[in-house]
Parts: sequence; C-alpha cells; structure tokens
Amino acid sequence: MIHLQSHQRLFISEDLAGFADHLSNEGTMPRRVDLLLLGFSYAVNNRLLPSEEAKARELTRVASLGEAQLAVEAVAQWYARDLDSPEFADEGELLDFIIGVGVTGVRALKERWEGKSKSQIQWDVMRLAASKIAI
Amino acid sequence: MSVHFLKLQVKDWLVYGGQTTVEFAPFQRGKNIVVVHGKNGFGKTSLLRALEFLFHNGYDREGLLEQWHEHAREAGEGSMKIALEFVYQGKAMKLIREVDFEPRNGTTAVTPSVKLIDVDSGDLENQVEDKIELIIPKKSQQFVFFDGAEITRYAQSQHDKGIREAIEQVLGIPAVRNLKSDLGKLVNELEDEQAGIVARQGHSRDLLTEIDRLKNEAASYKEQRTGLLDKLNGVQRAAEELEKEAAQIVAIEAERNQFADKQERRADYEEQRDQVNDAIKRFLSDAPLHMLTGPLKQIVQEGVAKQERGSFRRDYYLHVKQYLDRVLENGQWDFGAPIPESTGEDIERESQRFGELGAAVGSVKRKDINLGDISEIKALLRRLQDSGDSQRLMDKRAVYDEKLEEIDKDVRELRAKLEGHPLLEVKELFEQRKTLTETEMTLKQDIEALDENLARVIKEIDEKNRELDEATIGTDRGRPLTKTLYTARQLDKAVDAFVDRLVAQKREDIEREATHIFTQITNKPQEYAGIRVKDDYTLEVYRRDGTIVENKKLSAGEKEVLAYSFITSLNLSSPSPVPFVMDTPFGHLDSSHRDGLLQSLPKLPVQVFLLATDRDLPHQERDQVQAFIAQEFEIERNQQEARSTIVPE
Repeated sequence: MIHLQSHQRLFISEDLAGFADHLSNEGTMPRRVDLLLLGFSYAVNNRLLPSEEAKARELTRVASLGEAQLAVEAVAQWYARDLDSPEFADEGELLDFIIGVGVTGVRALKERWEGKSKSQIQWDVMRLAASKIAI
Repeated sequence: MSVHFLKLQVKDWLVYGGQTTVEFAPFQRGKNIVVVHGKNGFGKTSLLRALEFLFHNGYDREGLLEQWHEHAREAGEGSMKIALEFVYQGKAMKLIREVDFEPRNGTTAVTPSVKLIDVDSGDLENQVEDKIELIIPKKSQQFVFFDGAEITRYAQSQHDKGIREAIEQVLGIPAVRNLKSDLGKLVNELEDEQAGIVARQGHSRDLLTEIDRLKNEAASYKEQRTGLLDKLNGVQRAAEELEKEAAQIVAIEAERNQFADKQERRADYEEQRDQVNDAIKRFLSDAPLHMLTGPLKQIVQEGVAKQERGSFRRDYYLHVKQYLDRVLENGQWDFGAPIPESTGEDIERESQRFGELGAAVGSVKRKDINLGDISEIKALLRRLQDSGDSQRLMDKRAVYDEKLEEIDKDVRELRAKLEGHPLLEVKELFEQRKTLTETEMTLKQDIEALDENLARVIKEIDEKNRELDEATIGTDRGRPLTKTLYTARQLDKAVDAFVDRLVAQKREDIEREATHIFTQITNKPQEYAGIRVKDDYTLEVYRRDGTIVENKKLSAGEKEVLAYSFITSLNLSSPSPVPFVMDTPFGHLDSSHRDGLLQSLPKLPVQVFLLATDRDLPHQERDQVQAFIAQEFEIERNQQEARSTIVPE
C-alpha cells in the first residue's frame, strides 16, 4: 500500500477556501483540514466521484493528519479500486485523488449546510458520524 | 325591614361630569342583583365613594374640592351633588348631599349641605345626620359599601378597637350597653342618697367608709385590669407581628438556601455539560473517521484474507522447493529409489521454478496492505468503537441544556425575590418571641389574680350594702329609697346578664349565618365545616374534624370569602339590612369561589349592587345568574370630555 509522505501538502479548491475559513473561524470545526477530511468521508460514503480541479489553496501538511492519515490512505486506495481507477503510481497521485474526493465531498456538504447555523451543522456532523453507513 | 334604593343622581362628582341619573327596579327577592359594568378607571369606585359621601361626609374642604369633577373645578363655580331616593321602614325618602363652590376673596368657598325629604309629603326632616345614623351607622358603612379586595381585613386574626365597635354597632349592642350605663348611674345616685340618710349613724358611717374603700379597691383593680388587658393585647399583637416577620424570615432563609443550593446544582450541571461537550468535540473531530468505519472494516477483512492466502501459497512453493532440493542432494527419493540421471535436471528446473513462484508471491506485498497497517487500522477501529454513542451524547447535552435553562430561570426569580432583603437575625426574633410568650403568660396570670380579687371585693361590697340596706330600711325616709335601690341593683345585674346573653346570641346568629354562606361558597366544602366568631369578633375557620385552620394558612381568596361571609351575615343580623354595594367584588377569587359567591347573592334579602369589570363577571358566569339579575348598567366614558355616565344595558 502506498503511503503519503509527511511533507506533502493538502489543498482545497479556490471556491471552497472561503467556506473552510468561515467554518474554522466560527468554531464549527477546529481546523480547515477537518472539513476536507469530512468531505472525503462524505464523498466515499455517497460514492461521489473525485473532482478534477487543480489545487488552489494550501491547507496544511500531511503530517498534521495524525492517525487519520493511514485510514485516509487505505480508504483512498480501496475506493480507487472500487471505482476502477488505474492504480496509483506514487504518493503524489494518491494525494491528488484524496484531495479530489475531499473537494467533491466538501462541495456537497456546502450545499447541504446552506443557511444552517453552527450548531445545526455540528448536529448534522454528529448524525452523519453516527449513521456509519456500511459499504 | 330592609332598605331599598330607588333612584340615584350624581352631579359633577369625580369622573361623573354633568348629571347622571339611574333608576333602579323595585326590589324583588331572588331577583335582587344589579350589575354596573365598567372598565378600570371608568368610575366604579367613584360610584362607591359617592354613596359613602352621601350617607356620611368624611371630607374636609380640600377633600371636597378634590371630589369635584375636574372640568367643573376649572370653571371655579358651581356645585356637586349626590341624591338618593330609597325606601326605609316602608317609607320613601330622599337624601341629598350637595356642595356649593363659589369664588370668594381670591379663593373658593365650599359650602356643604344635607337634606332628607319625606317623598310622599315633601316635608323636610330635621336632625338629618341622626336619622342617617339610624339608617346606616357611620361605623358600619364599611360592611355595606366595600371593595372586594379590601375586605380581607375582617378576616385578620385581630381587630382594632374601631372595627370591634363598628361590629357591635351593627348588632345593636351599644344601645343595651347604654341602658346598663344609665342603670349604673341611677344606682350611684341612690347610694349617695342612702349615704346622706345614714351619715349621722356611727355604725353606718363606718360601713359607708368601708364600702367606699372597697369601691376604690374595686375601681383600682378594674383600672389595673384594663391596663393589663391593653398590655396583653399589645403583646399579642406584637407576638403576631413577630410571628409574621419570623415566618417571612424563615421563608426568605429557605429561599436563600434554595438559591445557594440551585447555584451549586447549576455549577454541577455546567461541569457535567462541559464534560459532555468535550466528548462531543472529540466525537466531532473523529467524525470523518467514524464515517469511514464501514470501508475500514472491509479493508481490514480483505487484507487479512489476502495475507492469509499469500502466506499459505508461499509456504507451499517453498516447501516443494525444499523437498526437491533434498531429493537432488540425496540422489534418491524419500522412499529410497534412486533418481535416474536424466530426471535430475528436470528436478533441478522444477526446484528453481517453485523458488521463483515463492518469491513472486512475496513481491505482491508492496502494493497491498501489510500486517502492520492492518493492526494499526484495527486499533483505530477499536478506539472509535469505544468513543461513545453520539446520539446518547447529544441527548445528554440536550438534557443538561434544559436543566440549566430551568435552573437559570429559578435562580433569576429567586435573585429578584431576595434582592432588597437584608440578612435578618432569625435567632434574635425567636428570642424576642419567647420573651413575649413569657410576658403574655405572666399578664394572663396577673389578670386572673385581679379577677379573683375583684370577685372577692364585689362580694364584700354586696355584703356591706346589705348591711347598709338593713340599717336604712327601718327608717321612714330610707324605706322607699332602699326598695328602689334594691330593684335598681337587681335590674343592673339583669341588664349585665342580658348584655352578655345578647352578645353571645348575636355572635351565634352571625356564626350560623356566616357558616351557612361560607359553606356555600368555599371550594373546600369537604374539608371546611364552618366559621367560629370569637369573643373579640375575630374569625376562625374550623374543619370537619373540629381542628382550626390557622388564619395565616388561608389563601388571599379564602380570606376574601371568609370576610364576605362575615360581613354579609353581619348586615343581615342588623335591625335594618341595607343594600350591598360591592366594588370589584371578586378580586382574588378563583372561578369556583366566584361561582359560589354569585350563587349565594340571590338568597340575600337585600339589593346587591355589583360594580364589576369584565374579568369579575365573565359572560359564562353572568349567564349563570341571569335569572337573578334585576338590571344591568354600563358605565360609558367620553374620553374627549373626560366624563363618565351610567346607561342601562
């Protein structure tokens, strides 16, 4: 299994950068990268296809993912196989896939949370996490 | 024979600008209720005050000017007038109280006048105020024209002297007491005359001196007794006040403890909610991983299966290679047969192939998940599973939020209540109460001792009087005097007993009537059995089991019902019951009490005037007593001219 390098950087698309800033500033999520991770998980659970957009705004380094890194790496490769995508040649391709899937998920969440307050979004996250959709 | 109102005229009185005339239907038993509807500030109380003024003017010059309608007052000249036609002892009368205002020497001269007219003859009655006093004594007016919310003073556990006198006035007791006083005077005069006759006789002179001494002693005891009784009343009143204060302090203290307790509980709840919030935060930051538990479990399952399959195949290939290598090395098969030379090369080729296969199975690992990753993911899944149930956490937070909201509301209310209440020393109050109780006991003992002394002295006076009577009855001048004196003394004693009997009888009458009314109205008919009227005319409610309900335990509404029952019975016990005029009659009453009171009104043998707001008499309840309503009026208010008038509905 391919592993990401800790110095690699995670990004989010330009149109979602403001959304990530807003949620982080409001305290809805502790960090902007948490939104990308949430988007990734939401996309996987709803079988959304990764976005092809170019990287835009840097969020953080891979090292800051902590214990989530391995889970994301494993699920990304498992999901790519599931989507019949070609095998990743290296960690760069793996990271692009993770960001692409995350961006798609964040976009869907942005739509889902339109007009919702901080606490409503938190309740929704709790519900999504509690539902633990088995694939 | 009761008094009935026929026609009322009000001119330039308080809110009633100009002249308002209201004619009442003839009194009819069972259809005796007259309702005057009016909103707050429209003139219900002004009407009540008009009747009070008509019968007994209690205003000075300034007071009269204040009652004058404001527009009329601006004009600076004119008059205000209240006139009432009524039936008293079968005779139609008209009472007019008028006040003229006219400018004089830069100020306004105020001239009140009163007239009582025999309507049939048109003659003016003389001694008007005395006659009014007979119709509605000034002191008892409070039992006839009253504000529903203010009558609770009659349900207090102590009456002041004024109220006691007013009650006795209604019951006609002062007239009998006057008779007793007159008899006392007569006895004194006769005794003085008797003393004149026996003044020259030595023995009798000694008797007279002795009687004088005893009388002085008795008077001194009586004076002391009155003083002690006043003191006792004062002590009892102070004790009651203290008890009220103590109860208030105890209540405040309880609230203070409650406040501290609530704040403590609030801190606990807040701490617990913070813990739940932390758990929720952790759950939120783990949310993406929670959402991936499904795929992660699957990855672990597949990885484990692949690892197991890969290792079995590698072991098999290597095992075959090892066997072939051993055969080649031994030059024979395991069962002992030698290997033909031509086969050796084939075996060597096969061994190499199995070796390559084994290596190939091992090289697949790089793209697959390895055992280390699998165990790390397994550990992560275990941690996620143990991190709590999000629904339970959310529910817990909602519960704590709700509890905190509730407790905050209580804390706010308690804080508002406690503001402005200084810390009071409860212990000190209870000490004072204890001292008062001791003083009360001592005073009672002293009064008992005085009573004994008084009884002894009176007995001695009686004996000495008898001796004196014997000395005078033998003389020509003394015989008729002594006989008259004897009769006067007997009469005095009889009247004394009669006063006691009358008071007891009247009290029983009121008690019976008040109990009858009270049990009709109370919303606890299963619990409360009746009213007891004590010697000082204070009231007690007693239960069916005979126990007394403490006055302070009665609610404001219950006190109103108690007071209403009492003053109604009082009015009905008077020689000439007069119409009731009740302003805002159902102040604190709940609907059950209100229904009971309304149902009791038609049974009264007098007119009942209800000055009511729509809250006092809602439509539904008004409909219930429709059959007993003689008339209904509405107070209309011309707001531009600041003038109220009364019109039939």
